[in-house]
Formats: sequence, structure tokens, C-alpha cells
Amino acid sequence: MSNALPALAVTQEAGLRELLKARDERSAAWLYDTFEDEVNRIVWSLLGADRDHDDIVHEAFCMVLKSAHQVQDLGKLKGWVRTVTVNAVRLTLRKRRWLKLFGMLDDDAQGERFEAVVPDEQQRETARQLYRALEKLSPDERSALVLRHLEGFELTEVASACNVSLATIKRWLARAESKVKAELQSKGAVP
Amino acid sequence: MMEDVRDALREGPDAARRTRQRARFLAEARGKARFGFKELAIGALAAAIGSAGVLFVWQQQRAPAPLEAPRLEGSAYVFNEGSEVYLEPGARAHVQKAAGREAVVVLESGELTVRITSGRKNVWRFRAGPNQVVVRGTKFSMLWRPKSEALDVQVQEGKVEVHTSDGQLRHVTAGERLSWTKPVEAEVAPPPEEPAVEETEPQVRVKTRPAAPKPVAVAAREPDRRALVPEWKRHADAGRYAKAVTLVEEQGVDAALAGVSSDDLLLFADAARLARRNDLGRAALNALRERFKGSADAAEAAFRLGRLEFDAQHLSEAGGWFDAYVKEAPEGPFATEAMGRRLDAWQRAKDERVGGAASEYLERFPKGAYAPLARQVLGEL
Repeated sequence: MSNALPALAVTQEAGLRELLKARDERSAAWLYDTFEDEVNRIVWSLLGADRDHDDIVHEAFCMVLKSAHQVQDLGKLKGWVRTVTVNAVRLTLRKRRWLKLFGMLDDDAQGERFEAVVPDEQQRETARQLYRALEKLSPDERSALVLRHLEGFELTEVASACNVSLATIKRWLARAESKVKAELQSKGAVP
Repeated sequence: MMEDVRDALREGPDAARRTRQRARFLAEARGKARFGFKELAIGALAAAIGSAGVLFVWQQQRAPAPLEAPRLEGSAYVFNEGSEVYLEPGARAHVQKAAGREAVVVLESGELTVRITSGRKNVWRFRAGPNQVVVRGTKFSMLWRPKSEALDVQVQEGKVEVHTSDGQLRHVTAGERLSWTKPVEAEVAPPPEEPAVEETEPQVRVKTRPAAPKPVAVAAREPDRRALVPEWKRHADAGRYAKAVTLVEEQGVDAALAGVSSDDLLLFADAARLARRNDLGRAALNALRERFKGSADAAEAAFRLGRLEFDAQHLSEAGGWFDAYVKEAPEGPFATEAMGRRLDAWQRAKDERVGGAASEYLERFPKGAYAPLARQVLGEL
């Protein structure tokens, strides 16, 4: 999985940076059409078909549009979009922790959101168990684990998306794997 | 376990949701263009009065501001207290009332995506023909087809009340979908030429048609409908685009798409695009134009072909398709965008028709999104 944007798309987008700087609607359309799969997939996996999925995707794209013109090398835009998207999700998770603390969050503890998107009952239950276990992780640990094991990113790509060093990602991953394993074992979901 | 979950979630949000995401983002971009300094000022102010802001939000939740007439941003109505009503491509709607604690939006045809944020003190009424959807705080979308008097309401959050023209009230909650069609009126059958039934047979049975079956149904629980719908279409509807495309290819594209409606051809073209099979999308749209020549859907197919070719960097061809749309549907729902994108495509392609496209655009939309580009083109000539 490469971080680089297809060169063709960039070289043929003459004046793209100017359009991005002006936040021109055409640049917004280009951003959405180019990165919709990437952004949707990351948010979908990190939060598990969340009810606020569309809002978070929207936030991520707004953040991208706001600063994309500052990216020096537009060929590296894809990697940067990933980082912004992961940040948007981490912000949401942190906000939810506070809301939960004050009892202001309906957090779908039963995993009802999977009813509509996972038709297979067995798979649905597995998804519920995993995302319940992910709730025990910090936003950083969760991001690392999901990007690595659900999205199949290389370690360097996970580090880049989370904007930390490789060593830090390895630490987060080790902690996350151990916590999730313990949680799933305690629920009898894995041996 | 990870592989199971990856498989289960692989499809991601469906095409309709992605269309809405795009429309919402573009509406936001239109509203925010060139206002970076304003956001900075707002950000600084918000930081300085953070605690006051929290209090303000709390107060807003308790007593939302009286509703005012919304502003139109692109294809979205944005209200003073933050609620948004998006008109999906081709939809026609207007705001009949927005004052005090009540807003009334009339959907003439097509689909709306709605996000109401003003809490439970305001009442929102969405009228579709003789039907009405009443909501407070919620997110939902509604589709109204006046010709067939069919109403479709899908709720993402909260709960809505649907008052249908048959006098029924139904509640639709988060994750549910209501598909309603006006029941068939009872009609009188011609009298039998000679008594064909025994005297014990009740006469009423030959004089009136039985009442229509219960019109409300959750889409996923309609076994009869599923049996009638081609398998590829069920997969496409469920967002499994690659599977839908594979099935059509296995059957043979011509055979699978022969005899299907223009709506289904548009659906397949969408599935093909999202499955990264532009060749099949192109074939479906061309087939639609051939079979439904002169129709509104054929014009829409031209517009979609334009987008498809534009994305494939076939700029001159893209401009040609947008041009076809403008000529076939000069007052159509995509006319503004088609004229702008025709100009954009031909300008990038250095096509000699760009001058005419620029003049025509400026004549019709002197303040349109592509007006600066049109002026730049005319200045360069």
C-alpha cells in the first residue's frame, strides 16, 4: 500500500494548489472524488460503522480542504489525508470519553449499529465483540491496532498516519494487542 | 477474528450516503471559499470566551433561537440554528415557512437529506404531496415520487412521525425505513353478463376489488419483492458493487441489462463507477442514451458520461458530454453545473469551443461559481 498519490492525477492538475488555497469548489470536488474511498474506509474501520460516520468524514474533508494547499509536495497528499482522517477520529474518540464521563453519551454499547450493515449474524456478533474490546483502548492504541490489523497498513504507514515514530507505534501496538486479547479472553470470545 | 470483521465491514457506506457526503462537502466548500481570515477571527474569539461558549450552547439546547428564513448554500438550505436540508441532484423543494418554533418544507419531487439540530422545542414539517413527515431533532432522508405517489423515509438518528394521505400515522425510528405507496382506490367492476356464481356467493366479491395490501414494509423484509428483483440489483442496492458488477459480467452485460428500466441502468452505472469499472459504466450509460433517447434520464446519462470522462482525464470528450446535456436539458437540474464543467473541461483541453462556452456561461450565470474562469478565458482570447 503506497502513500503516494498517482502521479498522473497530480501532474495534470495544473493550478491545483491555487484552487486549494482559494478553497475553490472544484478543488473540493477533486479532493472528495480522489480520497473518498480512503477516508471512508479509515473512519468506517476505526469506529465500526458508526452512526456519526458521515459527520466525521465531513469533518475530515473540511480539515483537509482548509490546509491541503500547505502540503509542500502534492504527491504526498494521500499520506497527509490519512493523517488528518485519523486525527479527526481520535478527536471524536476523545470527545466521546468526556461526554461518557458526564453521562451525556449514548454509546451504542449493544452494537445495534451493526444490524443494518452486517447481514451475517455470526460476523455481526464478532464485530460487536471486537468493537466492545476496542472501547477499552485509548484513541491512540485503537488507531494503531485498527490500521495495522483491520486496514492492513505497514508499520511505517501506521506510524505516518498517526504522526508518531515507528518505535512509538510498536509500543502502542503491543499495549493494544495485549489489552484486546485480555478483554476478548475474559468474555470467552477467544481461547 | 480480524479477517472476519474486515470481511464484514469491507463494503463501507453505500453509494447514496457517499453522494450525500459529497453534496454536503461541496455545499460547505461553496460557503467557506476565501474566508480563512474570518474563521481565524471566529476561532480566536471562541478560544477567548470558551467557557461562555459552553454556556451558550447549553442555553441553545434548552431554548433554541426562533427560526428564521434559511439561506441557500449551493443545493442546501441552512437555517439560523444550524439545521440543514440538502436537495439531492434533481430534487425540487422550497421552504414554505420558517418562523418562531415551526418550519415547513415542501418537497415537490426527488430526495432530501435532512439534519435537524434544534432540539425538541421546534417542530419541523416536511410535506410531500398530501403526506407529511413531522420531526424534531433527527437525521433522515426522504424521497417523494409524485407520479407514483410513493414516499420513502429512512431515519439515521432519532424518530419521525409520518402522516400519510390514507390518514395513517406511523413512527419511524433510527435505522428503520418506511416505503409507502398510495393504496389503490376501490373500483367498481363491470356487472357479470350472466350469473356466474351460485346464489350463496356474496355479491360484494364480484363488485369491488379487495383493499390494497398493507403498504408499509421494511425493504429488507419483502420476500416477494426480492424474488422479482434481479440478483445484481440487490447487491448494488446493498452497496456490494463489485459483486453486482461480477454478476452482470457473468451473465453478459447486454443480456443482463436488456429490458431494464432507465433507473436501473443509472444504478448499474453507479455500481460500475464505484467498483472502478468505468468501461461498464460507460456502456450502461450509452445503452441508456440509445434506448431512452430524448428522455430526461438520457440527458442525465450524458451528464454522468461527462463526469466519467472528466475523471478519466478525457477532457475534450467530457466537455462534449456536458455540452450534450446543456443542449438536451437547458433548464435541467444539472444545467448550471454542466455549463460550468463544460467550460472547465474545454479550457483544460485547450479546445477551441471554450470561448463560446465561456460567453454562454457568463450570459446565464454572471455570478456563478465558474464566472471567474469564464472571464479569464475570455481575457486570454
